[in-house]
Amino acid sequence: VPPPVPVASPVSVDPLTSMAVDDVNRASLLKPVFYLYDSDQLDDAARQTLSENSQVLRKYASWVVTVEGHCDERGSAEYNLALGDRRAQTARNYLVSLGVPADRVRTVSYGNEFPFDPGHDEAAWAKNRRAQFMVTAK
Amino acid sequence: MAMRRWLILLVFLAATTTLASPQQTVSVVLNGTGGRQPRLAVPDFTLAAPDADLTTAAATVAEVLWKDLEFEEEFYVIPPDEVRKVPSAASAEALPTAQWAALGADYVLLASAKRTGADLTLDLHVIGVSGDRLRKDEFPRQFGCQMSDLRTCAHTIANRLHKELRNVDGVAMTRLAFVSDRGGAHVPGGIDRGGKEVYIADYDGANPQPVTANHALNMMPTWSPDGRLLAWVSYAAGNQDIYVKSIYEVRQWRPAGGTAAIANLSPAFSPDGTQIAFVSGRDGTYQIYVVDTDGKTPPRRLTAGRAYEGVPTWSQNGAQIAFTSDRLDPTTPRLFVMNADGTSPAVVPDTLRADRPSWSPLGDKIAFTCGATAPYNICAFDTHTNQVQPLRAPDGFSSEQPVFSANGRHIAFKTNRWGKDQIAIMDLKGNIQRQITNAGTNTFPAWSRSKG
Repeated sequence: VPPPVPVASPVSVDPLTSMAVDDVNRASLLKPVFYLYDSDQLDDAARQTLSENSQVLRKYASWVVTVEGHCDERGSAEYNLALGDRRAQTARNYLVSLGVPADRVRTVSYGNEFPFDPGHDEAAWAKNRRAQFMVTAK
Repeated sequence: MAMRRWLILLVFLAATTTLASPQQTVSVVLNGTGGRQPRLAVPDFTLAAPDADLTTAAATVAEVLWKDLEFEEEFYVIPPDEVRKVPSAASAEALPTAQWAALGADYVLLASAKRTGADLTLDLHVIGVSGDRLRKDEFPRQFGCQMSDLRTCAHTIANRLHKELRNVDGVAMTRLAFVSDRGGAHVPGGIDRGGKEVYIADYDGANPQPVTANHALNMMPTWSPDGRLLAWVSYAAGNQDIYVKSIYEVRQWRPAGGTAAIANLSPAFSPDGTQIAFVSGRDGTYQIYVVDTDGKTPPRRLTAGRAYEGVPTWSQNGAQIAFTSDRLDPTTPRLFVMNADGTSPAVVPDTLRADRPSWSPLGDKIAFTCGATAPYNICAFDTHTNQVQPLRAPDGFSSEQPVFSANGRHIAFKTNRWGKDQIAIMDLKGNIQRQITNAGTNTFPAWSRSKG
């Protein structure tokens, strides 16, 4: 009878390191930041969230993330693509200012194409004016 | 400010003097009484040895032709209910001209249809019913149609009627491209998001078919001037990039060289088809660039500065490009015009908030989405008068994303008046003539300038 093979202690394994990228994104470890109407400016809450996200990116130093800029449904489609780009850029710039290497943070603008909340009131719009963080490589 | 206005005026004088419509110098063949549009009756076609197939085919051609004629508004087409009050006639000689004249008709389109093997042969005549045009045949023509493509047959006849009798280049053979979620595609990835594919359809919305099937978000289709290439924007590779595809071949390429870090969007072919103007974020903010359609030379930047520039559209002679820019106010993009090499950019007077301009092929108008907040309208800047006019009276619904027809007489646009966004067509007075789409949500119309 062969001796039992020792197994690694489960406590030492971070499940996120072995998770597929899609599953990491479903787990939403990186929190979205929100913007005022027609604005790309970061408020205190947004800066706090970005600070927390930078800690996550420090811990998982191989992750490459894409900052998605999103808008509410007000505003024309083309204008919102530019606004979404501005939002993604301000979030990215702040992450980089916190020490996240620039080559690990990309941006993309989706304008108003992918609302978080399909509603047509301020409560929905407030959730849709956001920068969302997606892990694109690990 | 006065100086700037003068500059604008000079720019447009230069542009418009070379763009006078060639139609102005040619006499119109066929007129109504007193110079008004001719009133045309289109009775049911006469059928030789009718069977079910022939009856259906003739009715299809007649219906499509009737709508083509009504659309271009070169003829007043007498309503079918009125037309049915007059007895049918198989020949010009038998035509009850007095009854047609009493109904207000100037001309009657007499058509007879017969089967010739697998095809349909149509004999057409446009017969005058009163005065010095009594029983004169203005259009003795024969058309051979494939039974499998009757709509094209009707569109061909409409174009010939418009050209020969009214000297108008009709658009019945042109096509619309647009973006739709009707296929229910889902973007692959960890978050559930719907994709949108590019579709093309006949100009009247018939025969819609997908051009892309990449399950990504696609947007902003646009036609090459010869109608053979389609350019559009896709997120298929992650970031926005411009794709160009020959709609008759498998060839597809990405001339603007997008990467995960470089977004390219809003393509617009130059009038000679050799270049594509587009928007790119490669230098930080969105700027306007131009690249050869084949993508073999690096893009050249046309706009300077750190503002956001958007949605280029070429003048028909290729000398200028209109676009939007927020350089005067970061939350209010306005309409600008520059030379095609990027020199002499100037704001167009009296355009407050502007988006998605489209320059008419006649050169005399730039249509754009206007309004600070929804509901949006479509405005047109007239390059002759330097005036900006909204095209539709406010009615609580948005009209956006205008694009001109090849002959500059109609505008396809996006509207939310039927619930979801749909593509519709209006004339230049703002009258909505057609709803083009109704399946799913449909946006970003583009109108081909030729059959392709």
